[in-house]
Amino acid sequence: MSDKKTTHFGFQDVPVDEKAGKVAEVFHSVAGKYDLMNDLMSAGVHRLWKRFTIEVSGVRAGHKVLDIAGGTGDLSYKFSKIVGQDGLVVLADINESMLRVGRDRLTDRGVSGNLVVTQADAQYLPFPDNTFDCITIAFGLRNVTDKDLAIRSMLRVLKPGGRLLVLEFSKPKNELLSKAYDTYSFRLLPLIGKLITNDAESYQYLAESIRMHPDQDTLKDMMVDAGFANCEYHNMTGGVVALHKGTKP
Amino acid sequence: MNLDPTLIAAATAALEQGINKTLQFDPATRQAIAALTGKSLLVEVTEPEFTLCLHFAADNVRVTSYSEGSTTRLRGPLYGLLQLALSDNVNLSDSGVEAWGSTSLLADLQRISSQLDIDWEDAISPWLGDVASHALVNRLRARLGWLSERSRDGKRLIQEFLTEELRATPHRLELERFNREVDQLRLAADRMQSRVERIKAKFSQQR
Repeated sequence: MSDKKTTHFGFQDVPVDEKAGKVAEVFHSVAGKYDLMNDLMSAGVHRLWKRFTIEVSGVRAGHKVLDIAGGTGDLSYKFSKIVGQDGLVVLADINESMLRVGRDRLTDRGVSGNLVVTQADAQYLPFPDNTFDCITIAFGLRNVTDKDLAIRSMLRVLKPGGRLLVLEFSKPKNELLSKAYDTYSFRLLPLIGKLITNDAESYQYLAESIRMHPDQDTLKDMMVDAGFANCEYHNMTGGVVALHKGTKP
Repeated sequence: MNLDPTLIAAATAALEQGINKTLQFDPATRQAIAALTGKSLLVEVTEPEFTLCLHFAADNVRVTSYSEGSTTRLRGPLYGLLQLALSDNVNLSDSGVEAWGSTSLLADLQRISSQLDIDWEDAISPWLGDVASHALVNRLRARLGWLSERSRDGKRLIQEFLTEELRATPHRLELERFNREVDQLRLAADRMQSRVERIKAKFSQQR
């Protein structure tokens, strides 16, 4: 028996040092059609989830915001409008393909001057302590190999009083909705993925990774354990997605 | 009632889009709104219970349902808030509405809304073309002008009929005089009661 530490990659157990590479393969494969797939899979509702995240962030003009796993830059675009030229938005993602799509898209939309794009691992954020007023990670935490390490890293780079917002798929509160959601995730999602991107496996991974992600209360406890204060969460669309909020004391 | 944040976000997104789309067709109002950059108005409706916050920026108005640190806060029932928004009345008393923070923002917003002048012709011309939209808007403008004139006249006539002919309701001046007389009567009654108390006290001392 091997002593090598393992972690989950969807429903599979893989060595810890291999997960990041496997996740990277998934996102290299879907990057080109990521936005289209998001709209198709959620019927556009992901825009409302992100909108509520921005509302809860309390970001104002002049703030410094870090958008981790920012991918194609949906949140970064809105934040750059809010913080203005006196503020700063850092769009960070571990995946080069996603980051390239995000950077090009934001440039095309005329975002400049207050936006920096950087390739960074959420577990080892390359920023000084107490840098940001707000950190968001939308639909990214479940792909991180060591979530506790990532949450502690985010706590480190947040300013005291700064907020972490984790927008992530979660566990539906209603049994009926949960069953319907399971059927949708495991039957329909891979089929849509196959039709649009010719890649059913990546969307099979998406469905599996959602099931393996900690539920609302577990994630809240992880944030409390890492040292965040005033931790709370908002269930959205019946708990299909949850927004967790924590403040650096 | 706790609504799902997804539904609330959908409602605020629709409202925000409506406001910003409308402002596109009124450059003067857009400019006036730009002068409010950095200010925000939190409206807490008590009946039915919901919260809206308007954030003013140089090129748009952001509508949210979740806000901290707004510069002005209004709180009250929907009816009172709507009445306040739609009438020329700037007095919060009797409306059931309370205000905190910088109330100059309220005065600015009331002034801006009274000067609102949306160029509907510009708004519909991409669909109907310049000639058709000009003709349609001119016709609507004439109809609306006639309607508002008739409504003003109608309101005045009904008021006169009720007060002068039917004598069903008093005239505003009569009501004010009556209220003044009631106040004077109340003061006189209070004074009389005090005198009676004083005389009673005097008698009980003499015994």
